[in-house]
Amino acid sequence: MFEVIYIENQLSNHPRVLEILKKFPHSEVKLIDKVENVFGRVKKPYLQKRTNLNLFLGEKKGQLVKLAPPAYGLEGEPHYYFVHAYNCIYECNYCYLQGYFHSPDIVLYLNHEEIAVEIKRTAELYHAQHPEHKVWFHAGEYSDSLALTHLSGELSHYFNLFKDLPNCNLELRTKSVNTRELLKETPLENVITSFSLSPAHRSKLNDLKTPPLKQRLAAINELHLKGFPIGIHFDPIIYDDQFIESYEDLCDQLMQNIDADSIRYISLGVVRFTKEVYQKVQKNYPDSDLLAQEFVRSFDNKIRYSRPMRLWMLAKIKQQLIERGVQASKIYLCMEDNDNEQAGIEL
Amino acid sequence: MKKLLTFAHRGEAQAFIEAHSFKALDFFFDGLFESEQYYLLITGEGPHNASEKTISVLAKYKETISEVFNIGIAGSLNPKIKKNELLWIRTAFAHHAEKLEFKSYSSPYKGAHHDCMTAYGRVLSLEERMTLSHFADLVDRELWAVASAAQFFKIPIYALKIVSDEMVESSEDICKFVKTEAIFFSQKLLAEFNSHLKKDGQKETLKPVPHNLLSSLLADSDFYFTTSQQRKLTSLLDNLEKKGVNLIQLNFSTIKNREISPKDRSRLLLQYFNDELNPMAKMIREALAKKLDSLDQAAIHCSYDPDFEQDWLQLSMRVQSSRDLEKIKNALKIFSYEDFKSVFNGQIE
Repeated sequence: MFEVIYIENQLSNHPRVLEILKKFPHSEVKLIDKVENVFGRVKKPYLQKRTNLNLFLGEKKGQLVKLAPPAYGLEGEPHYYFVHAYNCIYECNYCYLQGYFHSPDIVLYLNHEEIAVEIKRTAELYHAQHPEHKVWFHAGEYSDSLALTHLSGELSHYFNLFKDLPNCNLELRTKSVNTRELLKETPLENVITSFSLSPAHRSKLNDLKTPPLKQRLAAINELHLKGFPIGIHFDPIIYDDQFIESYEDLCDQLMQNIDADSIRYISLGVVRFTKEVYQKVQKNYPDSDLLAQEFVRSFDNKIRYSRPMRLWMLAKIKQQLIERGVQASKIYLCMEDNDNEQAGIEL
Repeated sequence: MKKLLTFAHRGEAQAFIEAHSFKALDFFFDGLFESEQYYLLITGEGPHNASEKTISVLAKYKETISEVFNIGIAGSLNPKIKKNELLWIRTAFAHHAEKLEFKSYSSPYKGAHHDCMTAYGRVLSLEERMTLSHFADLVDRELWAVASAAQFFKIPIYALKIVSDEMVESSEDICKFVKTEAIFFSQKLLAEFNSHLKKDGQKETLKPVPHNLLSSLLADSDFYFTTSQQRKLTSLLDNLEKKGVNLIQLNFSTIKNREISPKDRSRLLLQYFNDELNPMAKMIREALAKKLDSLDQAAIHCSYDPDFEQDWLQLSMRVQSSRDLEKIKNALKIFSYEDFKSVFNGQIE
């Protein structure tokens, strides 16, 4: 899987590193001073990940916890994300990572204790001002939160941490069905595993190399039955001629695997790109139907479907979910700040 | 169309020159040859030479060049890659004055699995090779510059390298040894190059035939497309194909037979293709037209954001009599801006 594993010198005898090396006996190992000295120093084409994927193991320095952008999660509560990995083994053809790091190689940071200290400090600082609010922390801003947990082994750190932070929530965001490590943990009310879902045919066309919808729904079902709180993301929503029927189907299938009341929240987000990512998608996937639709530069300079179209799409799906018993208060629009206001009027 | 073959030294190109009847071309500098299928350029050593000469040749002959090849020797940065191995290069990086160039250039060749670092100076010490080995499998002196020139002219780049020296400490003497082996390297490069062309030729025949609707429309005297409309037409047909629409089944005979000018037919045809591609945009326009109907009836010209992103409405009207004014007043009385705005907020059905 990994052609070369780069390891920061000080981690060469780290128990987690030794475990990872055992799993990849054929990978070449190179010791380096710092991940940043090699990773992203030259522009490695995104699609090179198909034939040449490398792994970097290091310690994250600098800002370990960051404030999430507006409209990132449920409204009215502060959202932060922490960085413990870069990049993803999957290849979603709309993914912003293809224009973000200039390298598709995977980076796993192993200093989870330091990240945990920073999460705790951030929560304390916030609660000193607003003790009544829940503070959200999101893992997986730059990576899938579950896909490599059998290698990275960080879940127990964060479950232990959030057990003692009842006024904080942790979101593990994933398209993976790699739940083995998660199932070893005792479910916590404030640790939510959230799955990104798309209709089966869209997932096949766009979520390249990810587990199919059926498997993701089965994973949701299993986790739900075992008491793990579940969140859902319908994001990115992509328009095609089967849009209405395919989301009807998706909603039905979802409700067959978890009852509407048990879903903690559902976020909706219509496909969007920065200009740079849009250009990358054009370059990397020139034959995809993803870009066949008309896009415009929207309120925040991102490239999106036109405003009437995306608000119509969001309203349709919201209506489908409400018809299936999901409370409107549990549905939020992700990264649609302006649209949120408009949708608030119309939906 | 011809292929441009670039080599740093004549030694690496010998076998190629002998295999084809190359004739020297009278150019701004020596080292450019031409045969029936190829141009062959001796760039000289180093990125500056390679860049200047490749750019000059491409600037002059770009219309006749379909592909650029960089062929020659390279040093190994990987202990597993041994002398005399032939490798097609996937991505070219560059290293200059102890710094890495951020830009990289990739070959479209799917059979390429190794990366090459182009160094601005000769890389002889093992320590330097170790540093570069974090980024690439091979080191050369020209590829990145040739690839950068090819990219500038939007011509695909292919690179074939033969390993001249392995991942060990070297001295300046290595260059003398390499020179003595030049003909051997050149022959091996030629054999691999020929076998690649053979494989590539087989692939060519598998390429799908592009749709001919575009060319038939552009040649049809019933239509007249301006340059920007031609671009729009190309993009619409491409996107319709991506969407899975069978172009042959598109029926635009009513537009073709309308008694209007070719220019107007073209405009309607583009609109028709656009509606086929974006049925939602058509729905939005129709919904807006309904909301603006009362204004339209009173000859009030309405314009709005063509991207539907902002919900402004601009009205213009001409009053030539009191009757006109009354008509406009009445139309404005019954017009609801909130209704108009609701379309922008997604109420389009």
